[in-house]
Amino acid sequence: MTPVLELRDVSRHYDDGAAAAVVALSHVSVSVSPGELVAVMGPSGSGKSTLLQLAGGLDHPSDGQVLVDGHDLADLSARALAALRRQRVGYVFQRLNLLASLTAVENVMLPLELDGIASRAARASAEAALAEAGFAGSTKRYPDDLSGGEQQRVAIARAVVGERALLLADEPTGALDTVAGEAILELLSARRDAGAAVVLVTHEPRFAGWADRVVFLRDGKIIDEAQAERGASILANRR
Amino acid sequence: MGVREGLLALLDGQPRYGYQLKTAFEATTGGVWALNIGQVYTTLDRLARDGHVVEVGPGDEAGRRTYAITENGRRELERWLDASPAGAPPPRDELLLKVLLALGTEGVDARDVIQCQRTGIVEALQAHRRQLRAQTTGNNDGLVNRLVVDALVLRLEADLRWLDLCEERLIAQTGTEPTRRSA
Repeated sequence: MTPVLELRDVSRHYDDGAAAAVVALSHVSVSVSPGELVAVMGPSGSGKSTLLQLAGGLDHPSDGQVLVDGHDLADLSARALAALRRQRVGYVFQRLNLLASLTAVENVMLPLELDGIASRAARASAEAALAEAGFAGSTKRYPDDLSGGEQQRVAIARAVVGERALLLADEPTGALDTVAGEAILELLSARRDAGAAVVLVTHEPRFAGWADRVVFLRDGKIIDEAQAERGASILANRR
Repeated sequence: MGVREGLLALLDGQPRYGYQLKTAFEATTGGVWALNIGQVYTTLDRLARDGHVVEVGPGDEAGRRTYAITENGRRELERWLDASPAGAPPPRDELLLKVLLALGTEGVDARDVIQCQRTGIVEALQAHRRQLRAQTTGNNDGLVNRLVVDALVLRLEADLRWLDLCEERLIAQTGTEPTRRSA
């Protein structure tokens, strides 16, 4: 099975005129297959967010290759890259980037309309995604009128609407309480079960257990990996 | 600790004999706390000696003796339910010991030990989560299972948080701050 996302020996350093370049990622290789949820954990500054930016084509590696659906992002024209990002990749970032001039449902419809989906169909899909993300109340409110948790749900609905093959989430449960946070993980898990590849950056130990694999970063390098098959549950011994 | 009071609580509902108490105790605790039958009888003997339970009626043909709770036992149970667990447990768990020893051992990188433990705990968390997903929901002991798993998961998470904190303090202490850019 072709991985949805593949990072091959990827490095990213920032050369801002200082004597030594700042290394954000160093020789990282990771691949995520359809139906797999991979969590990325590590201390702040370890390169977690950089990895996600590169995976989403929002930043370019200094060395190595980033492939989505088997396409090397470096080989794509700007237009093809934009189309790939829009159609295949869903993002939930720490900064939610909701458009203030659009209502909740319009924010979710936007990526579908950009792909030429008729407004009526786009609205129906958007309403369904909002419901799935646990958004309650009128979807015709503007972001400024929403609580932090509601904004988070809109951002998540926008990320999962349409059949995205790759979901990239950076601390997606940040503004939510425990139970609401679990609901988001349930949603991401359901997308995983439906065949999406999911990459989740988190510092929340609570969510590490949801992942099929957990990649640990330190100083821009992968230092370890936890795999669900290896864990032994105390519960497994129950009669 | 707890078994004695657990048996009292079960007898508060109805008189039972030893084997019934064993299975009821295990069902109530979601199957994570197994009792052996010898332990049940020893505990019942002590409870009877202290006047918290009494044997009722003659044993049945299989020789099973049925016990009931006394007023005295009921008061004891109430006292226990209301009392806070006596003090915090001393911080003598194995995880703490491993990290402390790693810090003081020449040639051992404490951050490697921390990471190794972290990976192990995450894998246990993953296993719990899978188990939860595999369990059919809506059965009678769904809530009990859920509460037991929650307790296990939260304790593992606490261990993970502590390991994260160890690492941060270690970085702050030794000044081996990784090369970082502003996030």
